[in-house]
Amino acid sequence: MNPNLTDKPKHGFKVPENYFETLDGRILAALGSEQTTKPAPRFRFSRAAWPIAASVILGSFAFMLFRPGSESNTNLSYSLQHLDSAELAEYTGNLELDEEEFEAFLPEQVVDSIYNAQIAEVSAYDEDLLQDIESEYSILDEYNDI
Amino acid sequence: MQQLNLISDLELFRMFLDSGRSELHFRELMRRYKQKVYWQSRRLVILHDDADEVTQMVFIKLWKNAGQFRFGSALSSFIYRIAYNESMTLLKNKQRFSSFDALLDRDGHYASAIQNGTEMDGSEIERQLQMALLTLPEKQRIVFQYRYFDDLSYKEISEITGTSEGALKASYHFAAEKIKSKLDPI
Repeated sequence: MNPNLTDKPKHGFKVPENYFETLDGRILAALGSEQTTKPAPRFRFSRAAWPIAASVILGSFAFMLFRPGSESNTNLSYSLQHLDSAELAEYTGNLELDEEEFEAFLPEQVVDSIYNAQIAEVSAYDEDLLQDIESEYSILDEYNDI
Repeated sequence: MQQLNLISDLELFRMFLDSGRSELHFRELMRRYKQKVYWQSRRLVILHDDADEVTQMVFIKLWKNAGQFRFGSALSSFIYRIAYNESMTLLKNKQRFSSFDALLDRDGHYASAIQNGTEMDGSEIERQLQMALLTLPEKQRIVFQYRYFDDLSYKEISEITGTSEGALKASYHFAAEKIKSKLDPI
C-alpha cells in the first residue's frame, strides 16, 4: 500500500443524515445554555489567602491561650512559636475542612483582613478580578445582614 | 460590507474578537472548520457520538478561549490543537487510551463498531485500514492519520501535538510500515 496514492482508501466512517446542517445550532444552543446557567460567584478564598487565614486564626488562638492572667502550657507555647505560616497552612489543610466549614470559624475581622490582602494583590489593570472579589464579599455582606 | 466568505481566517478571527464575539463571525468560523474538526476528531475517537461531543466542545472552547490566540500562527493549528486535546481528554476519561499503547480496546468495542457496520459504511479495504490503525501505538496512529487523511505537514502536526518533527517522522515511518504489512496480503 502506498499512502501517497491519489486513489488511497478513505476513512469510511458514516455520519448521520443532516448532521452537519444541524451542528451549528446545537453548538450555539450549548454556548447559550452555558452562559445562562453560569453559577453565581460564591465566596472563595484565593490560594494565597490560606496561609494568611491560618496565621491569623492560630495567632488569635495563641493570644487567647496565653494572654496575661491565663494559665499557659509551656510545652504548647514552645511548639507554637516554632510553627511557620507554611506549616500552619499544611496543618489546616490536613483538617479536611471544606471552604464553607473553614469560613464558619473565621471572625469578621479575619474576613476583612483577607479581603484587604486580596485587594492589595490585584493590580490596577485587573478590574474584572477586582469586581469579582468585591461581588464575592458583597454576597457575604448580604448574608450577614439577614 | 465585506463578504465574510472571501476574507482570510486571521481577518475573520480579528473581526470576531473586535465585534465582541459576534454570532455572525462565529457562524462563518464554524462553517469553515466544523467538518475538518469533526473528521479529525472522528478518526481519533472512532465513534460518532464521541466525535460529536468533541466537536461541540472544540467550538465552545474556541469561543471562550478566543482571546488566547496569538496571531503569529495559523488559526487552523490553534483550532486543531483544541480538537486534539479534547479528543485525548475524552479517550483518557473513558480509559481507552494510554500514551504508549494502542487504543485500549480490550472489550473489542471499537473493533466491533468497525466490523459490524454501525460506524462505517466504507469498502472492505477501508474497514481493514481502520482495523490496522487500531493496532498501532497511539502516537503512530495519530501522526499517520494527520498525514494520510488530512495531508498536514510535520510542522503543523508538531504544533498540534507538541511532539518534535523528528519524532513524528520516525513514528510515521513505523506506522506506514506496519499498515503496509497488514494490508499487503489483502
